[in-house]
Formats: sequence, C-alpha cells, structure tokens
Amino acid sequence: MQSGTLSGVDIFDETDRLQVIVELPGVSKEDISVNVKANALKIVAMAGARQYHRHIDLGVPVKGEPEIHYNNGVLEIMLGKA
Amino acid sequence: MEKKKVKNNEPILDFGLKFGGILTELGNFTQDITKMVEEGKTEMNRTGEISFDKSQKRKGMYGISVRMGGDGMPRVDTFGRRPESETREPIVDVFDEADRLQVIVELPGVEEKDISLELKDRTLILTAGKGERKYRKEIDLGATVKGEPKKQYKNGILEINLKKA
Repeated sequence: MQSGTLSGVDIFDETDRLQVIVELPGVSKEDISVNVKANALKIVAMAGARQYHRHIDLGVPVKGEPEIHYNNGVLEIMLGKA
Repeated sequence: MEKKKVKNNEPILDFGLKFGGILTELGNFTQDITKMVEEGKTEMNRTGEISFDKSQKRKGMYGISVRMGGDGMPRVDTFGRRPESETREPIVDVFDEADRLQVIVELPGVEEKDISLELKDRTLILTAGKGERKYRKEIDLGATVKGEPKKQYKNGILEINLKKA
C-alpha cells in the first residue's frame, strides 16, 4: 500500500480543453509539481509527512502548458486539447 | 465550476449492486489489516470508485481508513462521498494530548467561513462547505471538553484544539 492519503480526482471535458480537479489537502502551492506527458498527467506533492503521487489518465492528448491554481487544498489544472 | 458539473444523480445500478462493487474492491481488507499489523504500519486507506452518471464522467470515491491506536486496536473510519448523498464524510484524526485534544480534519475546497462546529457532550459535530462541496461528520472525542473549540484552517486542513474538562 502506497503511503499518503488518497483523495478525489475529477476530470471535466469542455470541448477544446480539460479541467482536472485534484484534492491535495495539507500542502502548499510550492510543494506541487505537475507534469504532462501525452495523454497523462503526473502530479507530485510533498510536504513533510504528506505525500501525494497521482497519475491521471486523461483519455485524450493535450498540448501546451497547464494552467494551475491551488486554493484551500484543491488543485485545478486547465489543459488544452491537442 | 458548478455549471459544468453533470447533474444527474440517477443511479445506474441500485445501491445494493453499487455497494456490492465497492465491497469487491475492499474485498481483501481483513488480509490487509493483518499485513499492516505485521509490517508495523499505522495507517491504511482503501477506496473504491462509484459512478454517478451514465456517461461515467462523474465518479465518486468512497473508502475506509484504518489507523492503529496507541492501544494496538485498529480504528476503522469511513470517508468519501456516499453515492446517495452530495455530503461527504471527511477524514478525521483525533489526538489526545494530556490536557487537550487536537482534531485534524481534511476539508479540501471549502472556505473558512463555511465551517461550523457544535459540541454535544463528547461529540463534535462538524459541518462545512456549501454548494457542491459539503462535508459533515460527527466526531467522537472520547473525552469531555470545555470552552470554545479553537479552529485554524489552511490549505484544506482544519485543525481544532479543545481543552479537556
């Protein structure tokens, strides 16, 4: 069993872009790294004992830099579809 | 965010089947607990996914959290979003610290002003959030407390400090 707390992931398909909502309570924005590779999103966040590793299959290819917002423990990522 | 959400809570399957699926996911739970004890781990979560709508775009998550208490007894808690309700049960930790209790609650996505606490004997009733993100949990404190609970909310984590009576 992987250490760290499991939390919810939501993906919203919006015609030309994807919105991904990931719950990462207990970390700061600086602790979060987001990597996009083809159809997948890799999110790593580490803040002491709290460690998150998320591999999210997006289902469609994406392009460009992800737009990232973090507020109140929720990470919001906007991605353009390729 | 609300406008984009697929608002269709009509179940694809009846609850029995839904929970049946979850139970399959959680199937080897007893084995996992045994393994956890053997490996000296103190915390473990198991989750299952629940689909809310026919297109499978919206999925819920429901899980069981097991933590070993200092007395060697496992504490089992549920968390996540129940399929029949929009209100979720947050993950809660209660720490007993001599003259006070510290309660840590994971409440991602709410505003501090939308968090309310109510004390009823040894139970702390927490409600938080509004709209699409709502949480509720009755927390058994295991001790009588006095005074007002002190709360602090940061990055989706609520920390509550209570004085023991």
